[in-house]
Amino acid sequence: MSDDIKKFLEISNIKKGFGQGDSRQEVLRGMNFEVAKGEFCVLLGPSGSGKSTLLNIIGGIDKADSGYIAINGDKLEDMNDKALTLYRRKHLGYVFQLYNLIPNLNVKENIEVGSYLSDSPLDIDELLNTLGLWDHRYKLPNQLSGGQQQRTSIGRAIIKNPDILLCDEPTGALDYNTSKEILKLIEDVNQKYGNTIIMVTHNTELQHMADHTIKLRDGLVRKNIVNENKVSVDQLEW
Amino acid sequence: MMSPLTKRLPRLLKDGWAKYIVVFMVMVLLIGIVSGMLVANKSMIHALEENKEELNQEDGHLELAYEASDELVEAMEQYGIRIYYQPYMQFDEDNDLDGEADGEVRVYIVSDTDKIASGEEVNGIDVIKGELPDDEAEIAIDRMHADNAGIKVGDEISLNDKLYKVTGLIARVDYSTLHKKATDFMFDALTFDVAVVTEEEFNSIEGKLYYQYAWKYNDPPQDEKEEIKVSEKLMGNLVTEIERYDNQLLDYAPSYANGAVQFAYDDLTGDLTMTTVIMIIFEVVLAFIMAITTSNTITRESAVIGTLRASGYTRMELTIHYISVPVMVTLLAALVGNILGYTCFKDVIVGMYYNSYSMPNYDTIWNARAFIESTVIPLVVMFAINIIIVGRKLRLSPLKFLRHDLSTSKRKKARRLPRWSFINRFRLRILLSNAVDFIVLFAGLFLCMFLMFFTFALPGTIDHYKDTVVDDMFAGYQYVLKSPVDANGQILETSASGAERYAAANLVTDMKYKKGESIAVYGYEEGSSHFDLPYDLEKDEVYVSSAFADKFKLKTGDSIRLKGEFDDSTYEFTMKGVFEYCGSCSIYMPIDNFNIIFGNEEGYFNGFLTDEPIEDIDEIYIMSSIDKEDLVSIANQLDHSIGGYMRYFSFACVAISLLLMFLITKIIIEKNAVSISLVKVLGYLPGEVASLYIMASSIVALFSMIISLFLSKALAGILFDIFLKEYDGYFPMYVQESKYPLILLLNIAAYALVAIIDYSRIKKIPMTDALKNVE
Ligand SMILES: Nc1ncnc2c1ncn2[C@@H]1O[C@H](COP(=O)(O)OP(=O)(O)OP(=O)(O)O)[C@@H](O)[C@H]1O
Ligand SMILES: [Mg+2]
Repeated sequence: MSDDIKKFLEISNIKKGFGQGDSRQEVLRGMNFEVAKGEFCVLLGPSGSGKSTLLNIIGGIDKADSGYIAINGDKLEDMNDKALTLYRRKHLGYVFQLYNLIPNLNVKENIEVGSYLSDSPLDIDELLNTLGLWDHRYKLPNQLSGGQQQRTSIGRAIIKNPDILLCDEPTGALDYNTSKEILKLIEDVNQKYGNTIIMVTHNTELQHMADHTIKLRDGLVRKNIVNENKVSVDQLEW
Repeated sequence: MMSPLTKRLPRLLKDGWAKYIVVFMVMVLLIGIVSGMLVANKSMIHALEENKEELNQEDGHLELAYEASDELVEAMEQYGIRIYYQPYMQFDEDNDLDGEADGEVRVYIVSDTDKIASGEEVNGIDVIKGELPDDEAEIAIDRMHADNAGIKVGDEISLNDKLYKVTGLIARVDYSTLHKKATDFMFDALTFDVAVVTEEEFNSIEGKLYYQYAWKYNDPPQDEKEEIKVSEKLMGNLVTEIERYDNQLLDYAPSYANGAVQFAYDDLTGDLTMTTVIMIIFEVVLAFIMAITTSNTITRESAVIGTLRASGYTRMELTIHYISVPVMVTLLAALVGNILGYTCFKDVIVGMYYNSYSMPNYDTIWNARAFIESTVIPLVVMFAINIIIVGRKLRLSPLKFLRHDLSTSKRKKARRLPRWSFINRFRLRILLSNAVDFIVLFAGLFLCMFLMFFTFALPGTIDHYKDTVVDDMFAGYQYVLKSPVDANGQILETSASGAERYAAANLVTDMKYKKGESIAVYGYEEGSSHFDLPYDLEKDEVYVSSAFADKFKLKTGDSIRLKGEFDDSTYEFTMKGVFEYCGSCSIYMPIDNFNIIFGNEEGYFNGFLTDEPIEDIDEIYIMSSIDKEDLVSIANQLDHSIGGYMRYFSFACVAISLLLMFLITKIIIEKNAVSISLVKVLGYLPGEVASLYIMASSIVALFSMIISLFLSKALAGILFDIFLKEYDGYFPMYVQESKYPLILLLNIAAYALVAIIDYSRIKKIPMTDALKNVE
């Protein structure tokens, strides 16, 4: 892989702590790694190791105490609120553990929340079919199963065909089979549209489906593994 | 056992403190105003009723053209009444001593306290400040007039070219309002005054004496109905006696029909229900706001509730838990509201009464009704609405709570929406899913705007009346003569410019719309320059003043049934057309027809209309005169009594609507905080977020305002008509066209302020809200 591609997303010496004085806790203590364009990257680490914190900083929702995030060489640290918003709007898609759908919008409208942000969104009807949500498109979130809600949330994230898809434990609240379906979906998306994916998970088994695995512990990158022969999630068991 | 949930109460209070404070303040205001109003009112009524007894208020009075002989008094007293002679004189009053008359003062002889107590005299005096006169050149004048004219105890005023020292400010029991004439629609405390001087002083003054006689019934009638019957019969009898003794009845004013006695009392006993009802509706709106707040908390905490319910807490325990904060806030507001109600709010209301009426001294009395209406009802409303809404919400199964599915509707799919742009559908969704909040917003705004409409309509109507009544006047000066001939039998003449004879009489309506409204009947001369009306009318054809036509909704061709004011004669006329005159309900006919109808000799007349004051007729032949000043003085008085307060009230209305909008939009934003945070995370710009969440509220607010304005206008018109029907005379409700945009603009400005606050609220919602994954 050439350096150029490697530098698509650069996480450089990120430090982040919470609290003051005695209760001060350094969560991220100098994170360094890079993600290439189109890569499926998995962030592994024990609970409390700062995975979500890092993802929020990458997403421009939270600010690092020092260090920087750069995408295509543009540093998030140099951006003002508006520029950050536009960055999220243009480049990012989010998938959360608890779906975070807007309760008073139906499935289709929740996905439209995403497509509104893009100048060239994917075709929504096609996407609804791909996601297996066509029959449910007029339902409200609280009338859906967890898996259907998560698929809606993925739909909302990918309809604008983002450069980067940030997923924070997307299957954390789902059962084994549904989790597999969702992961399959994310994998398909990655292959079909070539989005860069950063997925946070507890599940070490999932590193086999990734191009690239980052293991965190105590606020530092402990392992940075490039997986040359990844396998499809279909073939994984846990 | 105290539920462990109790420990959470301070947190609930803390979470919603801004809302609770606003609700608390508005409730204190409402409860305080209602209790202050009712307490002040009841105390005033009590004072009036007590004074009526203690100061031996007359049951009525009459005025004769000449002094009554002893025989006449005796003859009148055989009809079950006792007569008390209470003559008065009337002078110009110059209270700033600039040599110009500032108004008129009616001077009586000071009453004797002992004789009042023993019943030998009627119409005693309540001294509000200072003392009664007991020497030459001393005078005590009406307290309210003094306040209006800026006269203080110790000041000097001039009347009849003599200086008098004001020794006291008083309220005469037969003048709780300063009605110049018993039948005047309105009192006039600005340019009319009632005063007392010592008997010696009175006798020494040179001036025209008015022969007024008060009476009291030997057997007082039991109720007003009987009083009307008795007094009507009495009048017939007195008229006979008065004519037998060659005297003439100029005025007959039983107390129930005497504005000076009755107006304040009627006002005090009358218009409170409406106010109380409006306050209660406000409280309902507040209760809904509280209930919505609570139910949002429940939604937010639904997982906790689900767990608690699943682990055995009863619905009752949770209901009590969730309504206890609103209930505590309400109880505290009731307490504070009542304290303020009995103190400063009461003082404000009492001040308003004193500003309009010549009220006697009063004592604050505890008032059960005030307590029920100001406090018990709001509490019940608050409890009931909260228990119903919160109880209903908590009735859902624990499972639904755990699933965050708190919709009570059975609908499986979301409502289908029209094919609008996504953003508009999004807004519509926000609108629909917050419909309850918006309905409450509408109700609140409607109430505020309705009240506000009145605060503009009242002064507007008065000003309009003032403008039109002057424009409409048929002549600059209108004189009523005691008879058309002088003492030598010579027909009275004047050379005042524009002088024209006319005849006038008073009848009362005998119509379905209303009976007993006093109607002035005018006969005009052929070719009259003051009445631009045709002369060749049939005997029963009359023109009708626009005020009469509007009030009674009369059309050309309608028949008009009238009857005698003091007798049983009846008259039926046909309406020929409208004569533009809004000053009074009256009808107009050729003077020849007039004289035939009323059985007068040909050529009879009893007044002059002129363009300038008459100076060549002796005052003794003139019964009364009216000029522009007299007509506008009514309007000026009204302006003075209510005009100033209205401005405060309109600002109070805007303030309340601002608070309501603040509360409700805050509730809506809080309810949608997670969604707002989420769309921010997804990359919506602050402007876009605001345009989604504020636009929905803005549209509702704007529409509510516009609809409310139209509804208010319609409703106020209806209420105003009902109100006017009770009174003699008519002035249509009038709101200057420019006031409508003003009312709207004031409210929109208030909303704009709220929207700015909302915008910063939205901006402040942290994006991490969406990521907390608490729900
Ligand atoms: N806003 C905050 N204020 C204070 N401390 C915080 C805040 N956000 C995170 N932390 C702390 O930072 C540490 C890392 O949190 P983070 O959510 O990033 O962990 P994680 O790796 O995502 O854990 P999990 O796998 O349980 O989701 C935790 O100890 C947490 O308590
Ligand atoms: Mg996490």
